[in-house]
Amino acid sequence: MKQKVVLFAAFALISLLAIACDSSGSSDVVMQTDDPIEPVVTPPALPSPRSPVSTDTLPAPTSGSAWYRFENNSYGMALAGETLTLDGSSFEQTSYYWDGDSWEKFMGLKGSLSPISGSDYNATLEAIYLIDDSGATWHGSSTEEFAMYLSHVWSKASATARVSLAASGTSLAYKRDQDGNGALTDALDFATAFTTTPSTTLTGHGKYPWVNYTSWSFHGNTAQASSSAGPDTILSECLDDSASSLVASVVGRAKNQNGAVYGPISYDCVPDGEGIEWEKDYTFADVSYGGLWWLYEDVVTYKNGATVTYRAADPWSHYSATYKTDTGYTGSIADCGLLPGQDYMPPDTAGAGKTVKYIRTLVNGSSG
Amino acid sequence: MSREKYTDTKLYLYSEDDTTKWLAVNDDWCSDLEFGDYTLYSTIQYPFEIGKKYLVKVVDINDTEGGYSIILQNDMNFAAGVLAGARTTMVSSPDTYEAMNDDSPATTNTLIADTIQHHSLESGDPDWMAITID
Repeated sequence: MKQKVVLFAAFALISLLAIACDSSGSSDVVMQTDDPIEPVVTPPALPSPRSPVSTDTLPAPTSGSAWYRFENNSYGMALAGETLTLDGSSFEQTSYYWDGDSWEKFMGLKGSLSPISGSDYNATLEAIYLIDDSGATWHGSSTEEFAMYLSHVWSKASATARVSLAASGTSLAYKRDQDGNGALTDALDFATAFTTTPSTTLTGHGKYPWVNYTSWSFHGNTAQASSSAGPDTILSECLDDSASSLVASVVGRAKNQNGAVYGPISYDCVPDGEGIEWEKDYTFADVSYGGLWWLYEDVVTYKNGATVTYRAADPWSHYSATYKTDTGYTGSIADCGLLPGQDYMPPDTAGAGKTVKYIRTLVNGSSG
Repeated sequence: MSREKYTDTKLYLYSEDDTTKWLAVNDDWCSDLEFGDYTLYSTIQYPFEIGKKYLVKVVDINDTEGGYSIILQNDMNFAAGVLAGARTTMVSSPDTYEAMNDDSPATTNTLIADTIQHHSLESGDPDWMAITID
């Protein structure tokens, strides 16, 4: 994924605040009554941020009739776009994602059409195109890749699927028999709509951090619940494909259902073979709070000024999030579909009428 | 063999009358000394109310198919032969507990103390089992 690191208004604001603090916070201020010499401060030039609302256009297909569609991501921002080219005997679809600056294509489908009746066709997928990890090379799929993606992007039955392509004015109703039973309206079948409009208005704009999972674990030290424990939290960033992380900081806070709180916990950046993770091993001096613990807050700050704050009110609720993109666009999402990392700490004593038992899973011969 | 190839279980414990809010949860217990590389398995140590019925849910956090065994016992230590016996037990999919409606809280499968059960997890299909504490 392409990344461009630029200067933003937030940094300029921070710089100005720093200058202001330096001036007013000095302990060497001397009151002067005659002709004070004003300090000369040249403020840094403000960069020009992109508009937080803009219109962007998908590239036009090269031939045939061209159709377009767009989808928003869970943050309510335009994320995905697709072009569809039809010429009566063939089709070509190209999918794009919005990386904050431009449309980046990530998958293409190409094949032939054979009329059945009316607007129905047998559509045979002949090639899948993919972008490589560098984001630079557009290549045809290998046989293995084709087989792997076929059931997800085309049909669970075969490379030939029944499709309906019903055009009416500036719209095209698209249906595909994804479960392979010949019908087009089953729950697993695919249906969408294209239009002739190649542009979409982005309700949000810019890059923002996000968290795809969190974890919190006492690593088995619950066997000695009154002793020290090591909660561990790992946060992963999807927008970072560079050698050095764009993340400036990750700070978490944990809560216990009986009211105890713990934090802030500042995570460490830990590169490994699969990417960059943020984690922290912590040792409690006192772990006397039995019950469910959960990571009720995570705050991720990018070096370019973008931030996101996740909060979960209780261990059973998904995170909600508020965010600010690198261009200054702010937004929120009520339900991120992500549970907070959590673990259970048994109490020091079972209590009257209770008995401590252990439920354990373990490896068997079918586990691998 | 990489441990990532093994089932990565997550355990949830519920009271019988509320299957929306778990009482306890655990992903990895991290007991290298017992399991060697197989550290992705789970343990819940819980003060059960005597005479009450509970429900346990097991999922694979990666939503992939794989086997696991499960046991309810009075302490942390496995009885002699339990670990080795489980490792040599192959479970075909679907396992016998699927017929006991074990993909829902209405399961008729009951986890009996000190009696190990060998399961196979289907993709996207959690396993439920009941526990009655005597």
